[in-house]
Amino acid sequence: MGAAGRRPRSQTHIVNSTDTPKPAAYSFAVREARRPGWAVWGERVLQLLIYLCGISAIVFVLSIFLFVFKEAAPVLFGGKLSLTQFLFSSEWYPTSETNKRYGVFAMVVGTFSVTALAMVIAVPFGLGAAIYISEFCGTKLKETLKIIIELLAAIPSVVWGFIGLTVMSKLIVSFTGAPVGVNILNGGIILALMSVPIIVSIGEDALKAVPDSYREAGIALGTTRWQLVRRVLLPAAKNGLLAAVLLGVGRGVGETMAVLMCTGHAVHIPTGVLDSVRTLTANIAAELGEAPVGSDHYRVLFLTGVLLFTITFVVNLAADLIVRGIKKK
Amino acid sequence: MKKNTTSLRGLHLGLLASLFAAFVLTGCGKGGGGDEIIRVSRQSSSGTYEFFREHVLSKKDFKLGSRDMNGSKEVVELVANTPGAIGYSGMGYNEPGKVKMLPVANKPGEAPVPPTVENTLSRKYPIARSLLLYTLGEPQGEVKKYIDWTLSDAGQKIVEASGYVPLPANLRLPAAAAGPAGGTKTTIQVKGSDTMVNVAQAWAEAYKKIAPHVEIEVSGGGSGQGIAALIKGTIDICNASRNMKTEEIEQAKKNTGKTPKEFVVGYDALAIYVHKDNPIQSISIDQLAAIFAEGGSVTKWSQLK
Repeated sequence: MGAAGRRPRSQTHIVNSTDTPKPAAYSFAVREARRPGWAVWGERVLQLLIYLCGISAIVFVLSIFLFVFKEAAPVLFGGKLSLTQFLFSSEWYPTSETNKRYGVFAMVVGTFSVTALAMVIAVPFGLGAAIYISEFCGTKLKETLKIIIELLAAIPSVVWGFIGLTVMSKLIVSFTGAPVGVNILNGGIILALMSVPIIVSIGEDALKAVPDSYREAGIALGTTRWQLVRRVLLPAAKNGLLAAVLLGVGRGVGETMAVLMCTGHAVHIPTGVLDSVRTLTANIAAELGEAPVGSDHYRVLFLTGVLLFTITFVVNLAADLIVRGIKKK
Repeated sequence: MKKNTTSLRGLHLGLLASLFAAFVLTGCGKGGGGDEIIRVSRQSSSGTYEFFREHVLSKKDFKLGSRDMNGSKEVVELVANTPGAIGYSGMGYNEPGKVKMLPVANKPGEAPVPPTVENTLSRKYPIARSLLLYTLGEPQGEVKKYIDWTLSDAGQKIVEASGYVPLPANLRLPAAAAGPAGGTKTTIQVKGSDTMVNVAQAWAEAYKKIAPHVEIEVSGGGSGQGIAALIKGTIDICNASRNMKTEEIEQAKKNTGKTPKEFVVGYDALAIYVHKDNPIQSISIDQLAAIFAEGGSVTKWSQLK
């Protein structure tokens, strides 16, 4: 990119510095290029700055991953912890006085169960709302709904957590008779409410991206609006809608504060939606502050971070590849 | 066309609603069992958690699957909302009428002792403990004045008002003659025990009135987090509801070159909380261990009889 951008300017320099007679056809271009040196250099600096901004995301992601991995590496390669034990044991005793054990299996199951339940609730609602906003509702209602959904996305996660802890947990106890109101169901509902705005806005974009000619063709063939949505728009926008769902999943896996407050924080492999669980993110948030820097506990928490990074990376990559799939078509 | 879409929309919403209801109802079959003991515990950075493990579980590990709360107050709140729950927390978080503090017997045959002020001072209550402040080295200047004040009658009155047990008169310091008035603006960073966070905040507020130039910033997080911060040297005073361990003292010496100094500022009976409607009258240390410790056999209230 840099080289391609520089070429035209170096040509004008040559033109400027020499007094060779110029062909008449070039005179306009040369007058345009005769600028003070500081302007040329200023532009060069500006270009460099913008280039740096552009690649900064890559630099940040790589350095975060390297940092997290570097902190985790000693315990991974030190022979003290076997990877199978870390991944498939559910015994989490990081501060035991007699026998420290680090197994995150229960928390992996916890993370996935809360996310799965959240998606079961959020996907129908989110996609339904996206279809309604994009295809069925009037302009005025559309604008109002979009503003409100954006507002929904802007509520801080700790507020969601607070609602789950105080309001939702009482509702769950009185409706289901569960012994405790902080459980997978609570976390799932709260997380669903948090990911619906993402699914709606990306899903709506995907539907909007379907060319109007598809709609016109459908209507010309005499379809009802529902047939149009089901037979024409959904197949045409399916990749974008899938990406919307996957980004919702990414949000679910990565969310910390709300699930910390709503899921009960119990290390336990759940057998139903009314069981309390602990998620990977909540565990890191709760324990990193006390773990002495450089201790095994600290490093295992970073290893949990690597695991989370891998999960969200795979989910986001899948979403990205799918979106790319649409563009090719 | 319009009619058609409306009915379809209605149908699908109805379908969704019934799917959702069915989903919730299938989960419903599981809960309910009122006899199950719901264990409410603390996160592992808590001093209360470590004190409980050392003195009730005799250093054994906790049974997995307890609800681990982030603060003392949350423990009491969850117990208050959950009929089958049992939890432990400082006596200062008692909410009469919502929860019940159980008298605790040292051994099954012995008479259970309720967590009262007298029983805490005499250490008859089996799980009484000291509330502590730690500083790096001898406290200096404003920090020293502040700690001296917490140990005086004025400071101890706040310990009592917060629901804990104040020091007996012979351990208190006389109130500073001229008061700690005057001096340059200072900020004192206090962090640590969640059990003590209500006392520390009440202290900070009251101290602000007599020494307006001193800003006291109090945060919680658990004794473990406070001690970790003290070792790093990022705070002036650490609140702790457990003693610093030998290796933590060594680490602090190595990191900062100073020896942590300990001040006892009050006492607490580590109270065992159950729901107000729970018929249980008392509990023994052995029973607590059987409920909370790894491998313990008690999971139902009916097993305690």
